[in-house]
Amino acid sequence: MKTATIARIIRILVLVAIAVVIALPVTSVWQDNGSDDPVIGLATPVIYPLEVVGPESMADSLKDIVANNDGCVLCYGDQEVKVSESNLAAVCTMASLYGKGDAVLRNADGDVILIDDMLTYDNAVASYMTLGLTMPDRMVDAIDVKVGMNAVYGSEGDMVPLPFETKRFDKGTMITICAPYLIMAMTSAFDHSMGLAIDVSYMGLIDVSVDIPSDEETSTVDVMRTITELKIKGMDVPSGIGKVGDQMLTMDGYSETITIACIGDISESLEDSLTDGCLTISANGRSLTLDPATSEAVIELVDALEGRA
Amino acid sequence: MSGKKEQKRSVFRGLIGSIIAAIIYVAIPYTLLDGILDQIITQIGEGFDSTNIESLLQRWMIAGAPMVLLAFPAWMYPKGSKGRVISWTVYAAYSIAWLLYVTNMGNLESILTMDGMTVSVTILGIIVLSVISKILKGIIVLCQYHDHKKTENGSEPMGEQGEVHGDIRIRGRHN
Repeated sequence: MKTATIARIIRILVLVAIAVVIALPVTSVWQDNGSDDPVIGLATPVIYPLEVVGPESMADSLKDIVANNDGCVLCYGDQEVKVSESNLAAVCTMASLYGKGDAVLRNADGDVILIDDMLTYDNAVASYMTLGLTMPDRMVDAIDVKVGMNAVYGSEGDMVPLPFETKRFDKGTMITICAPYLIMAMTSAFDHSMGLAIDVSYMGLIDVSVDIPSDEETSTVDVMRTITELKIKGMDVPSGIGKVGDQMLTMDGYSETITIACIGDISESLEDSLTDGCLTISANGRSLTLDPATSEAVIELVDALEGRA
Repeated sequence: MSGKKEQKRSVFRGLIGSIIAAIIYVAIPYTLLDGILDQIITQIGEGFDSTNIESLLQRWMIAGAPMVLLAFPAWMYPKGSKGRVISWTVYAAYSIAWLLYVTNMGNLESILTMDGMTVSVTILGIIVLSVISKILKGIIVLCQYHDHKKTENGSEPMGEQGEVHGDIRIRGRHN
C-alpha cells in the first residue's frame, strides 16, 4: 500500500474520530425530544430561595398556579411532593422548613411552570435576579455565571468585584441569584448597576460569553454630617424600617430613599456590630445575615460612600 | 487513474481551485456583507451594532483575496510533484495565517452587540482542529511526493500492482 494511501486513511480516521467525539453528544441530545431542550434566557423559570421568601408568601404565590395545573410537583432538594390546593400550605411549610437549596414547581409533564411574572418578591431585604440556564448535560461543559456591578454600559471587564454570587456550574442548571438589596442600592450610588456575564463552553472548542450590563438608573448618595445619615436616593424601595447591624435603616418608598443613620461614622459602627464577622440586615420583619466577605464589602462600600460625600 | 495524468499540470484544475477559493474567501463574505447583513440589521432594528461583524467580513474578504491566487498552483500541480508540495505548503500556511487573522487569533470579542448586550466568542479549539486537519493533509501531500519519487526510482511500493503495471505500460508507450 502506498504511504499516501496510509496517510489518507489515517487522516480520515482521525477526522471521523474527532467528529464523533464532538458531534455525537450534541446530536444524541437533539434526538432526545424530551424536557432537555436547551433554554438560555432571562425570562425564565423561577426557583424560590426558600430561606428568604418563607412559607406564607410561597403558598400565596403558588395557589393560583396550582389551581390551574393538575399534577404539580414541588421539588426541593432531593424531595418531590405532589401539590394540590388542599396540601399547598403544608407542602410550602415543609419546603420552607427544609430551608436548604431552592424549590421549583413542575407540572405533570415535568416542565417548570413558574415564571418570573407570576411571583411577587419581598424586596425589603434582598433582591433577586432569577436566571434560567438549562442546557442538556452533553451540550455544554460548564456554565459560568458572573454577577457583578457594571459601569453603566460597561462590559464584563469593567465589573467591580462585589459580593454577588459568581457560580460555575458543571452542567446546565437553573439558578436564582439573591443579592442583598441594600448592597445593590449602595453600589448604584457609585454610578454602577447590576450586570451579568454568562459563559458557556463546549469541549474547549467554542466558548460563548454573553455580557448583559444593566442600564437601570443609578442612585445618588448624600451624607448628612450632623447626625451621620447616609441617604441613598433614587431606589425603588418599599417603605419600612429595619436595621443594618445595630444601626437604624429606614426606607421611604415615596421619596425612594434608603437612610442609614447613627452617631459617628456608620462604617465604624457597622464594624462594631458584626457578629462572627457577619452583618445582619433586617427590614419589614425579614432579615438576612450576610456572610463575612459580603459583610466586609458592605462596610467598605459604606466607608467609601461616607468618604465620597 | 493512470500515472500519466498524475504527471501533468492542469490549468483547468488550477482554475477550478481558484474559483472555489474565490467563492469561499471573496464571494461568501461579499454576499454576507453587502446583502444578508443589511437585511438582518433592518429586521432587528437600531439596537443591533454590526460594526465588529462587518470588520470581520472585511478581513475575511481582503485577506482571503490572495487565497484565490495561491489556490491556482496548489490545484494545478499534479499529485506527487515538487511544485504541488511547495505550492500546497504555502497555501496551507497562508490559510492558517488567514484564519488566525480573521478570527483575531480565535478571540472574537464583542462580535455581536445588541441593546447593550455583548456576545463574545472564542474558537481557539476549532482553530487547533483546523490546523490539525491541515497538517494531516500536508502529510498526505508529502507522502504522495515520496511515493512518486519511489515510483520514479523504480522501487515500487508493494500492494499497488495495477498502478505499477500502468506506469510501466505508459513508459513503454513513450519509448
